Amino acid sequence: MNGVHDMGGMQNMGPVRVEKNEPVFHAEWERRVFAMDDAIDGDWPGGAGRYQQELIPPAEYLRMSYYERWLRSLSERLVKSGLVTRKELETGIAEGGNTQGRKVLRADEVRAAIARGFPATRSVAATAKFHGRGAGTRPQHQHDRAHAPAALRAREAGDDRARPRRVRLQRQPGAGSGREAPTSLLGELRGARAVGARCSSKRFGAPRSVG
Amino acid sequence: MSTTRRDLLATALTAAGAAAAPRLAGAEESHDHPEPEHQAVPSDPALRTRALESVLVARGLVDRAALDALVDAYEREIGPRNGARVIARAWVDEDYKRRLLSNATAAIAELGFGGEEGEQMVVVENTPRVHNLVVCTLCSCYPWPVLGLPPLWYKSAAYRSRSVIDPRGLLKELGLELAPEVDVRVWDSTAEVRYLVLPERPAGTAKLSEAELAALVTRDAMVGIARVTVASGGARA
Repeated sequence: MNGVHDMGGMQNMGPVRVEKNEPVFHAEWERRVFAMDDAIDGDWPGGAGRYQQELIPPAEYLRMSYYERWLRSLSERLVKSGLVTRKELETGIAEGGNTQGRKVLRADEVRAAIARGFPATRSVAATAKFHGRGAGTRPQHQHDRAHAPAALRAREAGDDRARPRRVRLQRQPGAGSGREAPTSLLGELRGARAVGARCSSKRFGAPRSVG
Repeated sequence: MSTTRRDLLATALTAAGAAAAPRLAGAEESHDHPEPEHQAVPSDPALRTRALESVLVARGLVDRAALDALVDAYEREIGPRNGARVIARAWVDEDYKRRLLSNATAAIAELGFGGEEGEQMVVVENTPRVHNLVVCTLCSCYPWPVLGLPPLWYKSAAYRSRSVIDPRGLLKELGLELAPEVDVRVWDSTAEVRYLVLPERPAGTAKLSEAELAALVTRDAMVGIARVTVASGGARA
């Protein structure tokens, strides 16, 4: 969706500050939010966490810290899935019983789960119709799922590395479970020389060199 | 981590509004960022987090020991030291470097790294004529198996917004000035594809061992906001 999260190309966001010897987490609650989000087997498709963050109203999004957004996103997904109620989130007291029949990640399974990850790559017999110069991204304004970031919409591919090596399929956030759509060209365009010196951008006006 | 301590925290939640509540947030473990001494009551997100964890545990949706194990893995083991080993190997082994640049995920797996949030990785090589910079404009995608969790600056609005339109100016502010003839390539990460920069090997390191080279490689160099120098040392920074 078009939102404030889509920050590429915005200005006046202030200086980049690199914290020296930054710890992985800055508070205990950040550790727990990270781990809960990572561990839980929710009823949502891959990418739903980010989509739920994108639904945070812009003024709030900008004010919140990174893990505050994770916490909001996780809480909203849990409520939408019916796994937790808003009242429970407020009180911290579980009202429903123990959820039966759900796979719960155990400590001795953590290493294997990390090593496995969540591969989105599928092998399919398909080649890209378009690649290299002349190929590009379309302007699009879809509310309900991930698509090209604004900075890369309506752009030409910079060079031949825009050729998709294989087609990837990803379950779309916000589309309910099971519905799948290809995102391969987007992925490769974003990766391949997405913002190089030879790209032109309709969003930013005339073709320009940013390198 | 102690279960009894967590249970205490959970039961203390409802009373946490009381001014007399002790410091419960566990911030004492983060010496760099202690909560202000006067903050007797945990912060709003700390309270909400505790409430959420209590409910999820009570409903059997998460296992506390698994949460501890996840935190431990990403706080103590999975971090830029892994990426530094990959880079050092590529510097000393041309065949490995070729494999790394053609299929990064497989080459990185040779060293035992891979999986979550790095299911498909791509390595981009810096040369005297090309400098690569990695960003995630939409959020925070980052190659966890080799760099760990991303630092605040990588997730910041300032970096996400500016890196794609003024990478050269941004790098200069961060102390990395690139000659005009150097081509800057900015890679916008996706959920599916994560990028790692292969920095240039610094001069004067011909006699260093692979392990000594790895010790020079920094996280910032592997994202593209710094060079590796003989003085840089340590992938933690």
